[in-house]
Amino acid sequence: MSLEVFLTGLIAAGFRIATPILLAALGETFAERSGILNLGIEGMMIMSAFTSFSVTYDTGNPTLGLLAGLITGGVMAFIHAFMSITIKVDQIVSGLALTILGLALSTFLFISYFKRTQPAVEIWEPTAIPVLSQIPIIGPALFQQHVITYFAIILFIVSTWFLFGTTWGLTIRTVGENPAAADTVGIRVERVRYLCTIFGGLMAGIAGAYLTLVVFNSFFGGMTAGRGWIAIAVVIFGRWTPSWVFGGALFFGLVDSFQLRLQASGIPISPQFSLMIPYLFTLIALIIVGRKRYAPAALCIPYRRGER
Amino acid sequence: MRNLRWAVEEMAPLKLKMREKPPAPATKVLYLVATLTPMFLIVAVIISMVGANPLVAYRELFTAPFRNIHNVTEILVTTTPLLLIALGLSVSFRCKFWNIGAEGQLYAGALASTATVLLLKDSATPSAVFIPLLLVVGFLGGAAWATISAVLKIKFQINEIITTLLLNFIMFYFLSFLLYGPWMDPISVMPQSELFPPAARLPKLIPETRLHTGLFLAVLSIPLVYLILNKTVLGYQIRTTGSSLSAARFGGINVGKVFLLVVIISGGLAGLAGMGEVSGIYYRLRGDISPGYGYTAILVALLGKNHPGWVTLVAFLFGALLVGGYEMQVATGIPTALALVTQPLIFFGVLCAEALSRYEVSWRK
Repeated sequence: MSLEVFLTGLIAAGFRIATPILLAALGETFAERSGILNLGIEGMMIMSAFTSFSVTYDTGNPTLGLLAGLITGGVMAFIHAFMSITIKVDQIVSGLALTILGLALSTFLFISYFKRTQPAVEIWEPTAIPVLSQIPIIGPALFQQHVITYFAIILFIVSTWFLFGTTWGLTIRTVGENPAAADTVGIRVERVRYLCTIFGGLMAGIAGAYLTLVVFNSFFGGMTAGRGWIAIAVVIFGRWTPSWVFGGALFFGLVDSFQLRLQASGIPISPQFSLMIPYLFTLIALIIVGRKRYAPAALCIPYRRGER
Repeated sequence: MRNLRWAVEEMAPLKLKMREKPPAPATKVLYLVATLTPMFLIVAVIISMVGANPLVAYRELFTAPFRNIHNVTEILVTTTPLLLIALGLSVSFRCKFWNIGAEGQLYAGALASTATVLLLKDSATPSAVFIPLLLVVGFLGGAAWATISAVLKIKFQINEIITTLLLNFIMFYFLSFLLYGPWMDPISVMPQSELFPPAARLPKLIPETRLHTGLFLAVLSIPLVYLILNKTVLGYQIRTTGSSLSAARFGGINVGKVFLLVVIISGGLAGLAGMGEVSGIYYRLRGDISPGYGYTAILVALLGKNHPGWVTLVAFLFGALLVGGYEMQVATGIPTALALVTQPLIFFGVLCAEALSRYEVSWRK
């Protein structure tokens, strides 16, 4: 195998694998920037993966499936927002419960509807961008991806601009750093937090839909395999900034892509150890990059007017 | 933008005011009924969605666990690991160390015990030595696996929620490496270790059931955890660290040491639960000895307010629910996972009831 073929495959698969992590992590970045930690990402992703799968299976229309995943993520994020913003439950507790619920409910509904069969939906083909996809190596690696991957990359650029270049971004960051100060200048703290949390849920929803519609073409219990948690880790070593988050997600994608190639290469390594690599590297990356504290000051702290 | 703002305001139409004094116990029960009823209605809707009769399902779910002696022993069988893990987690959650890796720690304990058994299987070690040895090894296995996260938090300030959870996955793959590789039972071609010799098996409490002496460990842990939390210096340090990290540091508490100790307790008890499963029930290591006990126990500890007494009650009730889920599947064909769906919904209901007793709720004008 030539180096060119290897690199093309590695990078292409890297972006493919990084897409759901990037989407979920960007959404989570917004939520955490506004002061809401959402540990329910894993549950939202797998629930959305399930709804988008079953809708696509029934209607044969992946766009409707994507929509179903989007709505599922939004609704679940709303539950988290209600619990943690309106009735001020501990965010860690509410998020964990949501993840446990999502994992159980998706498995339950899948077994109930599909019994023990292993149904599949048609693969949602990638879209090549004309001209650009003809460039050697970079072309096939970057510009023959799925529409959702392009969306994720555009989202990372837009959210960098949004968070650091607009008043709205400043509003979000203020709410996450000092909600009392935001409140005194007339910012509706709870409203901003609701919006950011729900946005995070919508992105986790797309991420879940992407997993069923583009990556696996199928659903199985626990299929997210910790991707929601890795997204949260990526936010931490991405220092709550979209550009670092992009780097973190891509790093994870490349490591996983490399690991898959390692298994296929015939090098005698047990597949279980190979599968362990992405999780191990996430841990190591956290040790190297995640030790400094960049977290928003008011993360995890419910806001009550008149309390300090 | 204006419309969007309006939409969000409509989504959060409640206004909360802190209550001056807590409501009467009867009122609290009323709140609980008021919030749990919709949750059970949701579950009923889910059951009808999959084409089954909710009433029949509920009858099985709630009455089948108590139908006969055998089913009651099954409740105790599931309560044993749930209680062990949840008690440990309540110690950890008390000082806000969010150990959510109990599932991996359970398997770490099971794995360490199995390693010991495989090492000593031909040594004719008597049961009186073998069992205590396995208990110690199981505890240490779980504790050691959990300690990784504590060290990462103390030395590098890395969030323990992420590390404990990532370690679950690493443990899962390591376990399947062993079970598909070096530890695979040569007789059966299943991903499981070979059978433990009789000397390495926990004695049964009642013959012909799965109830084993591991239950004593769980029961013994209840007063032990209570004493640690309420009657020792460590317990005081744990509670102080939990209520305010900076106050604990200011008061001269070595917070790192506290984290390390709670992780050893919680990881160790989870490891003990794993040892109980391999040595008390399956007599071998398998990849499916836990149907997510480590995750369910998180809900148990939190619902029990990290208090040993309440944790025991909730562990028993959730254990009964798991048995009910299994009986329901046998009787009606509804997947047993319904029990796992019901648990977090009950949890959300209780959270809402607590909010009702803490705040006066009114509609936003």
